[in-house]
Amino acid sequence: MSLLKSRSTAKIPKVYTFRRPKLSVLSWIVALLWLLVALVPYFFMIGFGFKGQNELFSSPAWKPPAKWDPVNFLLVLQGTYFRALLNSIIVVVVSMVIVVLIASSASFAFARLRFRGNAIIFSAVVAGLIVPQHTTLIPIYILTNKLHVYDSLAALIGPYVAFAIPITIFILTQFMREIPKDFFEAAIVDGASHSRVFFKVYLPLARTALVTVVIFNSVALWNEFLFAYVLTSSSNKRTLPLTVFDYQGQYASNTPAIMAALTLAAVPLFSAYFIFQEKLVNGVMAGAIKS
Amino acid sequence: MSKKYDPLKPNFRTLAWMLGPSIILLCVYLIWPIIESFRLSLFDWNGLDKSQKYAGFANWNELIHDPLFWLSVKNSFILLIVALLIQIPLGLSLAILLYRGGTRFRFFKMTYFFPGLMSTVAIAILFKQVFDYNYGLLNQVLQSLNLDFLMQDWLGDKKLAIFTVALLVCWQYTPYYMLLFLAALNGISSDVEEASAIDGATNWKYTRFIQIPLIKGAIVTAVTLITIGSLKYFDLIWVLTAGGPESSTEVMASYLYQMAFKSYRVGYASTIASALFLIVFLTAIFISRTTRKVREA
Repeated sequence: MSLLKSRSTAKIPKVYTFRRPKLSVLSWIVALLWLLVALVPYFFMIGFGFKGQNELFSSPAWKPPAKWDPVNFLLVLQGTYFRALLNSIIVVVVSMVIVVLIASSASFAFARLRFRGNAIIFSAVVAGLIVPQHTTLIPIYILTNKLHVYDSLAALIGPYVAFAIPITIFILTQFMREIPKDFFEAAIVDGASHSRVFFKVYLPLARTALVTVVIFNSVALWNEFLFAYVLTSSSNKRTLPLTVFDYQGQYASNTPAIMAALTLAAVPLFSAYFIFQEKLVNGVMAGAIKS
Repeated sequence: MSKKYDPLKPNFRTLAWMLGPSIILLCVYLIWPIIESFRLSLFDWNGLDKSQKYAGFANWNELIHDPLFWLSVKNSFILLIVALLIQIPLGLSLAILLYRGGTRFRFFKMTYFFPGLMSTVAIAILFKQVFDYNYGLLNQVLQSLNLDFLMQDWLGDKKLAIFTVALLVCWQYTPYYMLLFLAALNGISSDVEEASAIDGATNWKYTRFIQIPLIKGAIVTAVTLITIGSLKYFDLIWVLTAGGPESSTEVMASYLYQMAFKSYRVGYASTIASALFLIVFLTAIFISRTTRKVREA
């Protein structure tokens, strides 16, 4: 986790105070330029959502709407938006609960217990990180049909959990290895079983790492497209990204409504970002840094 | 008492409940599907019939001689190369910029991550409107600036489309690598910075000779993630161009999807799926071999 420690939290007593270099004009120009690149598409999207259906043809795309009319947003909100939002929340929460339960216990076993094949099984699990979802798509599609869960939220949980397991076990195992062995030994000497040591000592101590993996996986699952696209079909089973995708057909001739839908679909994750900024970013980065 | 008591050794039941669920799920959703894909690649099957006709290596033979497949491989590697050439230097520059800016650039740091927050589908739909030839934002801005000669059919031009897609991928993912590098830069002890300042290192020299060598590990991580990620690319392309125009933006995953769910050639699609797996797997081994030295140093 050392890399994640930001400058402000790592307080090092200093005798000699070091001043940050002055920023050149060029730095400011580059900074503002990239700000433009990062933000303009969003302004365009939001503004477009307020436009009238034919404004697209009558005035340039970069002009703000003639009248800020929220009718498109109301249209989308009356549709399947809230259903999709709920579906996304259900799928992400259920998947995360299962992932945390089963991956944390496995991580404890990998980090602290001695059994034959520990190292080999661990490497095999971590190798799962590179498996492309697409390679598994057809067999999982067939399996989903055989299990009679096609076109249900339940169909998504299996693959979502399975594909979250490798990274979760990887991060948690590394974290648990850094928890001093003394805790483990002391608990065993006191007569605790391995299960008890896991639940009472390791799981609570791994809290920060758990937060990290939950954030990382939640953001990934929240935006997941492929499995949701293939394993569900009816509109009341679609998650948010898929609902957005379906809007294209639904509002084919009403581009402003599609833009309003995109804006509304972005609201949940952006809200989370504004509330938990540093935490969210660190969580998203953890997956990258650790692998 | 034949064996010595080992406090680290779990009994079978404990081990079973701790590892069992994860292992079973991985077997069902990762390992079995890979094997099943290879098995299906030996069959001629439309996905609907009860019977699967054994075809030996006919699918593999077809794959090797399929120009569309090789085009999709080539496009996947174009995405990969553009991603490496743009995302690493750009991400690194922005990270250094944010690092030097410190608290003064806090606002920039927050907003730079925006492109990484939207779902890929949403990005694709949004940029369809940006890149539209007649009514798109990009062309209309160029027109209003009297830069008509730069106007392009960004997604409709067969030669250009794959590069437009590649640039959009960079727009989406550069913020991730920027933050990855920034985290690594923040991990460098401030003693190093002070020492080099006392030794008279300029900003540029400090970046070139101290910062970049010290965050090698993060750069290797970024290269690995970009490489593996680029070969698996699908969502953005599927929504933005569906592989078109005329297959000019087809990548391995989209070609696979097309074969399985549009052309109902499940056997052949499984062959592509298996090939995709092999390519990703071999590339991952290649990267981990070549970067071992850097990582261990």
